[in-house]
Formats: sequence, structure tokens, C-alpha cells
Amino acid sequence: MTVQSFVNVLKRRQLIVFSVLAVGLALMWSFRNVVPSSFAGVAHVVLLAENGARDPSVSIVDLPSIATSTVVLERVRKSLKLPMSLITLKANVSASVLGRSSIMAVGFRDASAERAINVSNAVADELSRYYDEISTQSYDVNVDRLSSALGGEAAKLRDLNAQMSRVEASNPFVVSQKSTDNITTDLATLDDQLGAARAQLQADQDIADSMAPNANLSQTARHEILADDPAYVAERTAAARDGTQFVLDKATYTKSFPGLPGEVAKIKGETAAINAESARALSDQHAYSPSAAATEQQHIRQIAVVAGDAARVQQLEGLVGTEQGRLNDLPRTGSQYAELDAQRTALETEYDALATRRANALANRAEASSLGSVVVLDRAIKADTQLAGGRTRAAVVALVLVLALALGSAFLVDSLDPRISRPEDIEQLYGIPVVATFGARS
Amino acid sequence: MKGRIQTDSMTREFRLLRNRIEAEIHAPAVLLVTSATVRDGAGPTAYGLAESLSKTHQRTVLVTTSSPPTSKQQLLAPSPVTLRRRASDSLEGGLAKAGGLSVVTISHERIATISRSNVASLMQELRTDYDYVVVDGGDLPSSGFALLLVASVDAVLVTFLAGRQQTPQDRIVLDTLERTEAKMLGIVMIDQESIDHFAQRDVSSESREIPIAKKAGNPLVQRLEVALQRIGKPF
Repeated sequence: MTVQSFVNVLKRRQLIVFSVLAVGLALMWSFRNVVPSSFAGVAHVVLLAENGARDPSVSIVDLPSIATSTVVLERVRKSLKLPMSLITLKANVSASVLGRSSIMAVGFRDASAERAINVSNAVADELSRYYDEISTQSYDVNVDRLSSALGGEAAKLRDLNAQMSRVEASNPFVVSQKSTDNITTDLATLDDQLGAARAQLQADQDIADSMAPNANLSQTARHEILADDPAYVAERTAAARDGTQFVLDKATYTKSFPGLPGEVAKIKGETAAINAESARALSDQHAYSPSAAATEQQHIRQIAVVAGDAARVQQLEGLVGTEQGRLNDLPRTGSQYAELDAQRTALETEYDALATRRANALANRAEASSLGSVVVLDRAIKADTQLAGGRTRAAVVALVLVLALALGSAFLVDSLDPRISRPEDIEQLYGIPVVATFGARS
Repeated sequence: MKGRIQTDSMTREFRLLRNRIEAEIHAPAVLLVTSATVRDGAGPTAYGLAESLSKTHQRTVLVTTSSPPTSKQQLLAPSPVTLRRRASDSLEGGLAKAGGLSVVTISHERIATISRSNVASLMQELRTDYDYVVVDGGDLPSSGFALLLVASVDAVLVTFLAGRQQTPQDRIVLDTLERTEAKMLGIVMIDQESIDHFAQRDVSSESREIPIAKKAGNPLVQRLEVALQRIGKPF
């Protein structure tokens, strides 16, 4: 259809066109208050260093789709606790790249100006975060796997260390390269100490034996006991006095002094009494002799020394036995320890390799995050809020629809018109060319 | 102003049509202008074409018939050709001249009794005196004159009223043209507004028409009258 034929159809059906336009405009005027006013908040984001990014799969042309994706919008809806469905949110969010730049406008239209601003800003922020997630997602997976592997290796290392500690605890010499020499040296030292201890024990035992209490009291002890016994001392004193009297009477008198035999008998009686008192005093269990008591104390101490010597000898014998056991056990524990040590060395090598790879992955992620990122360039603020023209937009849409309806009606009526008005229709009917046309319908 | 523009436009269209005819049909030739229905504008087209041919110093004659009015509308708003026919009716079939164009009118009473051979001889007669004989055949399905002529003319033009619906007469025209193997020049499409404009234009020019049929001593007139009398004889 040419422009001329298009105009001709409109001219032929101008009545229909104007009628539909009039009715449509009248309806628009009637329903002008049905559409509520709304506000639009607009934030701007910029995609930085897009070309240098390690992950070029996401470019500026993809940002509108990401911004209006259900992932981003659902997060925004939850974070702001928006009282609207995801579909409604999606319908009112707009995202478009400005020309050929790397800047994209993110807008939201709502009856509330504040919510329009908040949502547009939230979408911009969430877009920035989500873009970072997308950019570093592959690296995150890598890092997570490497971290998990590192954790497993660390656990194995800890287990190995525990096993080696137990082996070391059972045989400390396994950690040394000259473990046999060390044990032998220690064993020799212990043997020397054990010999000395045994000699000391014998000496102290001899001393103790020499201090053992005797059944017969010593002269000193007997003297101390008797001197401390008053009855004995009294008998002794009386005997001494009577003896002195007898000596004096014997010197004074002759053998025929009649008193002498009496005195002799008295002295004999007193001597017997002294002996009896002496026997009694010495057999008295409460009799006390300081020197005997001191000797007893020394004996007790010596017994303690002997006991100490015996304990030390026993301890040394135990140590010697332990060392001897270690020496005997050294071949088995040494090989076990060496095996564990080899395993630990291998694990440490593996751990170091994984740690290096994880460090590289972290560096790559950081690089990807820094090279390709979406930055919120311009946040929606109060001043940016504008009357989004809910009515205006609806009016424009309605006007376009009315115009389309008017034009469509014209062409519909024209197509349904059975009358033949165009040369091509006549040519089709007759199969003969039209050689001349007269009038506007041509 | 609008009428002037339309006149110029129609004049230009007729000139183009004339040039096409002159290129395709060599003189002397008989052209039949016919249509499927009465109101398809065969008369105005034949007249306009003849007039245009006559303006190029071609000797041109328009042969028309004085058909009776077929409708009340024709009576109340007659076309210029009808008016012309009415003027010629007084001649009882004769020759008139409008500017450089000769007009031969055959009354409808004669058409009713005419024969194919007589019509052919009349056309032959006119061919000897004129370069182009343009015949207003009216609507082909109902016009006996056009049916008699269609097989013997050199070329046929079919007019079509723009904006009318398709009719069974269209099929009749197509079948007739195909059956008679007439040479089709093509279709002339004309709308009602042009027909009406043509009528207004020619009403004014009608007054300048000078009847010459009865002029004594005109040998052409005399020959035609003989021919007309001959074709008017009953079968």
C-alpha cells in the first residue's frame, strides 16, 4: 500500500475516522479521573571497567534484564517488606541503558513518592550486589571447594599429630635420630645411680641396725634411771649413812663393840633393799633415761633414712626397667613414628598446595570483583521525584489506541466495502488493464 | 476553482488516453466505448475521447444513440450526452457538429430494427470520411447497438463506474468480449463526480453547438442521411 492509497482510504472513510476519534476522546475525558497520579524515582548505575573484566559474559546490555529479574526484585521486596506482589513490582520497575553509554537508569513508579524513591534505590543497590555475586560466583565456588578441602587436610593433620604425640609420649626417644644411644646413656647413668643408692641403703641399714634398742640397759641409762628413783636414792642414802656410821664405829671401836654386828646386819639389810629397789626401778616400765630416749630417737630417724634409701633404690630400679623397656620397644615404635611422620610430611605438602591455590582463587575473586562491578552512580532523591504522569501516560496510550482504532476502523470498513473503487480491483475483476482513470477515487 | 482543476485533470487524462489510442490503433478506425451498466459513464467517456481526438486535427465523429431515459433520475438530471441526444433527436437521426467534432445520432427507434450488416456499412461509410469513429455503445448487455458493433469495430474501451459493486453484467461483458474476440484497449475508470462534472461542463458547451444536419448542399450530410435511412429500414 502506497502513501497515496493510504491517504485515499482515510479520505474515503474520514467520517468513520472522525467519529471514532470523537467517541474515543469523549471516553478519555469521561474516564480521566479513573487513573490515579503516580510518582517515579530514578536512580542511575554505571558498569565499571566492563571491557577489562575477567568475566565479560555480563555486559551493559544485560543489566536491564538483571535489574528486573525476579531474583533482584524478590530480594528488594523482602528487604523493604513491600506490600505488593512480585508481578506488580516487576510491572512498575523500569531499567534502560542511556544511549550507548555504560549508565543505566533504574526507575520505579508508585503512588507514594517515598516508596518510589526507596524502591528505585533498593533495586540499584541490589543490582550492584547481585552483579558482584554473578561476577565472582565461579571464584566463590572455587574458594569454597578449596576451603573445604583445606579443612579436611587440617583435620587429618591434627589427627596425625595426635597419633604422633601419643607415640612420643610412650617413647620420647623416637623423635631423636640417636634414640638408641640416648637410651643407653640414660640407662648407664641410671645404673650408676642405682648402685650408689643401694650402697647408701646398705650403710644406712647398718647404722640403723647398730642403733637398734638393746634388752640390757646401758650403765648410763641404769644410772640415770636409778638416780631419778627416789626410793632407790633414799635406800642408797640410808645405806651410805649407815655404812659411814659403821666405818666410823669400826674405827672408833674394836671388833668387840657390840654394836658392830648389828650395824653389819643393818648394812646387809640395806644392801638387799638397795638391790631390790634397783631391780624394781630398772624394771619399771615408766622408768626414764634421757640417753636411752635420745638413742631411740636416732634409731627411728635412721630407719626413716633407710626407708628413703630403699624407695630411691626402688624408683631407680623402676626407671631402669622403663628405660630397658623403651630400649626393647624402640624398633616397633620407631617405625610407627616414622610412618606417621612421613604421612604428616605428605599431608603438609598437600595442605600447602591447597592453601596456595585458595590464595590464588581469593586473589582472582578480588580482582574480578574490582574490575567488573556495578556502582550506584546517582541515587534517587526527593528532588528527582517527578510526577510520573500516570494520567498523562494513560492519556497518551489511550490517544494512540483511539488513533489506531480510528485508522483501523477506516481500513476495516474499507476492506469490508463490496464496492470496487481501485484500479487494481477492476483489473483483477476483468483481467484487463485500466488505461485511464477519471476522478479522485483513482 | 475546483471545477477548473477537475476540468484540467480530465482533459489531461483524455489526452493520455488519446495518445495511447493513436499509438495502438492506426486511423481510420472505429472505437466502441461500452460498459456493463447504464451508469458506468460510457457516454461521457465516448464524448470526451472524441472531443480530445478532434482537437488534434483528426477527423473524428461521435456516433451515439438516442436511448430513452431509463430512470427517473435521468429525466431529472440528464447527462450532457442525453441532452445532446435530445437535441439530435429532432433530426430524426442526423449529423450535428460541436466545435471540430461531428456527432451522428441514431434514434433508439431505429436501433430497435437495425441489422448487423447495415450497421457495418454505416461504419464503413463513416470510416471513409473520418479518421476515428467513436461509438457510444451504452451498456453492452442491454444495448443492441453495442452488441451489433462489438464484433466489427477495431477496438473496444470498457468504462467502469468507480465505487459500484460487482454485478452479473460484468460477467456478460467479459463473456461477450471473449466470444467475439474483440480487441480490448482497456478499461476506463470514472467516478460519479467526474460524470457529474462532465455533465455540467457540457451543459454550458451545449449552447454553442451548431446543428448543421439540415444544411442544404452538404454532400456529407446527404450521404449520411441516405445511410441512416438505409439502416433504419425494418428487417
